[in-house]
Amino acid sequence: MKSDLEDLIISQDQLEQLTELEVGKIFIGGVVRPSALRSPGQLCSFLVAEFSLLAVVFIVCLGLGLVIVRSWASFNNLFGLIAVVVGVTITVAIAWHGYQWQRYKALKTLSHLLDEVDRHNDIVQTIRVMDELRLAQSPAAASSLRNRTEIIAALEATRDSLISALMTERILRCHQTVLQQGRDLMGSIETNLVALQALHINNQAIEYQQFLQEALEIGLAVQQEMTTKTGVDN
Amino acid sequence: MELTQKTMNYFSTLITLLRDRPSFLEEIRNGTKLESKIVALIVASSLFFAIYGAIVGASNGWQQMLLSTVKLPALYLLTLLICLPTLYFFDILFGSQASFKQYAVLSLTTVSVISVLLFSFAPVTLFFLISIRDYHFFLLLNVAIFALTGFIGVQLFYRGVKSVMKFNEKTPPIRQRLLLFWLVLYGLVGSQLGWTLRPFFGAPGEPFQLFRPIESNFYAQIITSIRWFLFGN
Repeated sequence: MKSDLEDLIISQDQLEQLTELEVGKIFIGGVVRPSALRSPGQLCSFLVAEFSLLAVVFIVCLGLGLVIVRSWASFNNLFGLIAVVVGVTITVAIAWHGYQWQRYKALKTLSHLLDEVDRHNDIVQTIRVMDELRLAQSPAAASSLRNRTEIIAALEATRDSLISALMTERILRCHQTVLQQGRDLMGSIETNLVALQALHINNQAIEYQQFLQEALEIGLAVQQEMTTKTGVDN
Repeated sequence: MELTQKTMNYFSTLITLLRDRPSFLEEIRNGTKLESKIVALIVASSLFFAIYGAIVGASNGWQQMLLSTVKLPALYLLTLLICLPTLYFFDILFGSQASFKQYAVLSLTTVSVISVLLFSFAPVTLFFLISIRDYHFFLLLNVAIFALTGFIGVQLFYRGVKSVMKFNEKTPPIRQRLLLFWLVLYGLVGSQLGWTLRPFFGAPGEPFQLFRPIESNFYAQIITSIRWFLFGN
């Protein structure tokens, strides 16, 4: 990957540093990302994780149940014990989902921002593939480099906006009162959005227009999300 | 693809633990991704225990096999659940700065290493299960396997705790003694719980049993089996 594109990717380690949470495709800080449930593959992955954990809960509860009923001289109803343990496991599952929902409320904005980060990283990956294809077709590839500069600039602005938004979100999450630093970062997001809009207007006709459009959409989504968040917290 | 990836994630944590212990311990020390490590180690070790449980249970029919599939992971996880708070509260009382999650990951590394070692013995156990139909031999073989894997797991845990908690000359000697005491306690609770939950493999000719009557104790049974194996009575 070209170094300029490498720098544009927002890596998982960076995300974890910025959010101070464990970030994955399916979970953020132990909470399910709703976007993960829209893709069949990731839904399947989530179900595997959930099933595995519930299986462990079942095993531990059944083991505990066996130890308890061991001392009951007249006990001989294994199926009754299994039914009770299944009931306990279902109760744990319901309680876990309730807890997830409570925690998700606090991480809703972050979840949306992470979806935008995924979109941003997808665009960078697509450009990388396009670069490689162009290089394979014509090693000189001089014509593509001219238009590429604008999209890189747009993606840099998007990246900065996303990082500012993630930092703002963390500050707001960690300190429920709105801090001045949060407002400064919000200002940075708006400046980057103006830059993105200017790039979009100047490059309506170029072949990367679709990417600029997407970068602009990400910028708008980030701004909207943070405006809502700061509005709610205010 | 995603499904395979998720399943692989659980095992990749375990493989990292086995292949690159210093980095794994460093991550525990820094508190990196502790929650996902806990989940991955619990799930992966439970699966390995379940497989080994199924193999030893298969010596006495499908009902025993199903029950041992549950009993063996439950034995190790419950032992940990019972003993972990003792280690945590006593250690912080004598100056430890580590969090409960760090203790949980450290103790789960022990359980995970034991589960992997048991799983690696599975073909050997299966071979003897098929080729020798001798209950006492099978029992002693498994006691030897459980003792060996337990010893290695506990030894790695001891070294792991000393590394993560940065034990040195300035560390109060009571913390080291406490750790050794805890390991003995872990062994005693584990063996007693195992005795309570038996049978893991039924005696030949006897019908399926959920439990054996509580009689004698674990150590007396081992002596009886050794005598039976050596002298035939």
